[in-house]
This record gives sequence, C-alpha cells and structure tokens, in this order.
Amino acid sequence: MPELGIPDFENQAHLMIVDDEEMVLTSIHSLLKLETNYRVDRYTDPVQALDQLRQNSVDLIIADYQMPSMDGIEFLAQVKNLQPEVTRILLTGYADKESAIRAINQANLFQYIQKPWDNSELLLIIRGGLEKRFLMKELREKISALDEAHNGLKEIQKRLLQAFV
Amino acid sequence: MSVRVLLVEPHPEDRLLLRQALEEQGYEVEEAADLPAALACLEQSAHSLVVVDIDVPGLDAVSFLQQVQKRQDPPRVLLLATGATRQEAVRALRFGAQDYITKPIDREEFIARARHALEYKSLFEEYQSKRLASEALNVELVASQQQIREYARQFEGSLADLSSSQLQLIQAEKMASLGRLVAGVAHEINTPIGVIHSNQDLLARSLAALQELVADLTPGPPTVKMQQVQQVLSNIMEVDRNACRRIIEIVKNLKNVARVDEEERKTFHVQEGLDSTLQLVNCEFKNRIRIEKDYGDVPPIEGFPNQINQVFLNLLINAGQAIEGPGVIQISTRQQNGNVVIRISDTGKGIPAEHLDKIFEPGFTTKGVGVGTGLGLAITWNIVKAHGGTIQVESTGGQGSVFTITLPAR
Repeated sequence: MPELGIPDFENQAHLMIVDDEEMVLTSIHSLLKLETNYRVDRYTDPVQALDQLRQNSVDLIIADYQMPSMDGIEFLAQVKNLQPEVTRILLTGYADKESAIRAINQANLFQYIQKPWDNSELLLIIRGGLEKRFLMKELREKISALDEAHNGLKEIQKRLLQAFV
Repeated sequence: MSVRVLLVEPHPEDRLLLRQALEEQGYEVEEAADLPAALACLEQSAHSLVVVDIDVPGLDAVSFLQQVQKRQDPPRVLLLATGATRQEAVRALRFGAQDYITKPIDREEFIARARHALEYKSLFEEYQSKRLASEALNVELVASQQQIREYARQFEGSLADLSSSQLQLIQAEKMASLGRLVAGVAHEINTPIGVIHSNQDLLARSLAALQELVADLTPGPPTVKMQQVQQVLSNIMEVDRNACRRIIEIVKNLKNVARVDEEERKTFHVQEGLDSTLQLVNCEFKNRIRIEKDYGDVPPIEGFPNQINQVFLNLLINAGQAIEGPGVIQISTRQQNGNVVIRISDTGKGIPAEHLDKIFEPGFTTKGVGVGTGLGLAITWNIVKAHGGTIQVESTGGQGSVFTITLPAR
C-alpha cells in the first residue's frame, strides 16, 4: 500500500502574493525569505497576476481584499477557475471581516488574515495551506498511481482469463 | 327728526310762556302739570329734553332725575328753580341735571339754555355711539390679539419641531460624516501600521539571525561594544513594538466608536462601549484624571452601539473638561427595575443651578467660542431618548456633577 506522510515542500513550494501596496509585498516577502525557502512571486496588479497564472501553476496565493483594479474575492474566484487546487488566502482590513467571512464560501478560501497580521500566525497559516496543497497533490498522485496499478491488474487479469479460457 | 320736549310746569302762565318759546324753536312740546302726568309721559314716549319746575308738588329733584336716567336713551334735564329752590337745583346738577334756570324766566336765556342742553345731548349721543363703536372695535381687537397669540403659539410649536428635527439631521449628518472620516482614516492607517508592526517582528528575527551569524564568525564571548549595540537594538525594538501596538489599539477603537458598517439595531453590553470610549479619551486624561470603574452584572441593551458610544464620549469629554487639575471620574453600571443604569460622575467644577435646566437645550454652551458647539448634550439627550431611555443630571457647584442614564434592558 502507498503511504501518505507530510510531504517535504520546504524547497519546492511556489507562492504568489498580490497586493496593490508594495510595502505589504516587501514585508511578507522579507519574512518568507528569512524564515523559509519558498519561491515567492509578487504582484501589485491582480490582472497581471492572472496572466501569469494562465501559464504557470503555483501552490498558494495570498491576495489583498481592497485593490483598485479588482477586489481580492473576485481575483481569488478567478484563480479558483484557473487552478482549482491552489490554496487561497485573503488578506483583509479590520472592517472587512464580515465580507471576508462571506467570501470564504464564494471563493472557497482556505483562510483569511486580518491586517495588521502577526508574522508567526501568518507563517503557520501559510505552512498549513501548503501542507494541505501538497497532501492533496500527493494524494492525487497516489490515486492515479493506484488507478494505474488497478488498470495494470485488470489487464493482467484479462490476459490470465484469456490464457485459461 | 323732530325734537320732543317734555315740559313739567304746574303754573299755567309759565307753562304757556315756555311752550311758546320752545315751539318757536320748532320743538314738539308735551306738557305735564303734575308729577304723575310727567312720569306717565316719560313712560310713554321718548324725549330729548325735559324741562321741569322743581316746584311741582311732590317732586324731589334727585329722585326724579334718577327716574329719568333709568330710561333708555335718557333725555337731558333742565331745571326751573326759584330763589328758594336754587340750592336744590344746584345739588341736582351733581345727579345728572344738565342745567338750571331761576325764575322769573328770561325768555332769551331760557331758549339759549334749552338749545345748549339739546346740543349737549346730541354731542353726548354722538360720543355714545362712537364709544360703542370703539368698544366693538376693542372686542374685535382683543379677539384678533387672541388669534395672533394662538398663531404665535402654533409657530413656536412648529419652530420647536423644526429645530428638533434640524438637530436630528445635524446629528445624523455629523455621525455619518464623522463615521466616514474616522473609518477612512483608520483604513488608511491600518495598512502602513500593519506593515510596520510586521516589520518590527521581522527586525527582531533578523537580529537574532545576525547574532548567530556573528557568533559563528567570531568565536569567543562578544565584546563590550557588541553587547552595547545589541542592547540598544533590542531596547528600541521593544519601544517601537509597544508604540505600534498602541497605534493598532487606537485604530481598532476608532472603528469601534464610529462603526459605519453597523447601521442596524444590535443587542450589546454598555460596558464594551464604555471601555472603548475610555481608551479613546485616556490620552486626553493621561495622569491627570483617575478613572474608577464599578461595573455591575447588567443585562444587554438593544439599539445602536455607535450612538450610545457617542453619548459616553460626550459625557466623558465634558467630565474631563469640568475637572481642572487632578480629579476622579467614576463610572458605574447597575441593573434596576428592568433598566440598565449608568452613572458617570466627576469631581469637576460642577454646573451652576441656574444652568441645570438648560444644559440639554440645543445651542446652550458655557464653553468658549470654538470649544463647544452647544450641541453635545442635546445630541446626547436625543440619542438616549431615541433608545427609550432617560438622562438626568445632578450637580452641586464646585463639587462635581453626576449624569445618570437609564436605558431599558433588552
């Protein structure tokens, strides 16, 4: 039987942060650079971020709620269509809490984080999100491996039957 | 219209003389020789003038005059007297006789006196009718005055209604714009402060990493200078972290006091509002004013928390301004007969007795220009009223004030 363990994503995780405020991007990116080995892409424009996502997949996306060209909920909903398995996290201001909770269902969020955020909490949430993402990935791979094995077995069974009949 | 004269004269010669004189003037003359006849004539028809001889047997001038004056539109009375009755005639003048003439009668004089009496009567009648007209006018005046007074009262009523709805509009507008302003400012501050807050932590993490790296590079205990630098860095980072937390707390409270996203009725505890508001005014009170809280176990109330917070803010700011130098503000909450009772008392300079009934009126202020709008307590009163509650004030000059707010529990 194939086994499920916590995958080692430390050196392969690929993140994307989208916020119209450059300083937020710099701050979160710096934290991740200091504390992790994740690869991090930064975008101030959600439209550009979507273009990028049409070509390359990522594992986790953090998006700000209030952005001028497109709000975070709409952005993440579009991300969901492009890459359903990416872990989606919304960054919200204090007053946006209620709309954020509503948006969890709408964009199928993994989590929302309130500004001002706590770094340790942010790291934990990201780690949790990645863990989920990689477990899913692994699960999918194992399922398809199982499927393959199952199909192989079926083929063998068919051949055996043919050989005997 | 002809002029009717009643001539009461017992002596036939005199009667004839007088009658002729009167008729010459074109007057219509009726005669009576004695008192009963005279009274009967008076009874039967109206006269303009009565010429009466005091010598008529049984006649008393004064009581005769009284009889005459009882009549509607009383005639004037001209008395005929002799030397012996002259005193009585003079006396009768005081009782309404027009004039008297002494016998023997001088014709010309008599005519002049009679004409004079009649003129007087017509003048008197004119005066009388004018007086009646002016009395009627006066009645009308009084009526219209009353009407004007009624209008004025109605105007006052609608003026009061207007100014109260104007006040409500101002309050609503003020709350809305204050809410928008505060929410906007808070939102703008939130992101940069969030970043700074996060970077504080990041700095600490980086410093720790750096220290490890330095330790790896230079084996052995750190130098004194190194230790000093590390000390300074960790000190200022600690200070910055606290400063940051305070800003974050203030932003949060600003949003609590003027939450624009909260327009619907809510069930809430007044203590939360009191605490949020206290945090806001705390920087103004600093070490000057001690706050003593005595919260009881009270049920929640229903209404608009941001408005109730506005009430607390107004009262606390007033209390703070009333205290010159150090002082104490006591805040207590109690449950009482299905109500939540909040008392805010201060040790300030108090409110003069003559101001106590005016402080909730819009526009009333004792603060200087630019300090008070005179609306704070009026708005406070309106909010409390809108929540079905009451607000009362007790104050002793020089010994502080106590505001008691009673709000129905949910």
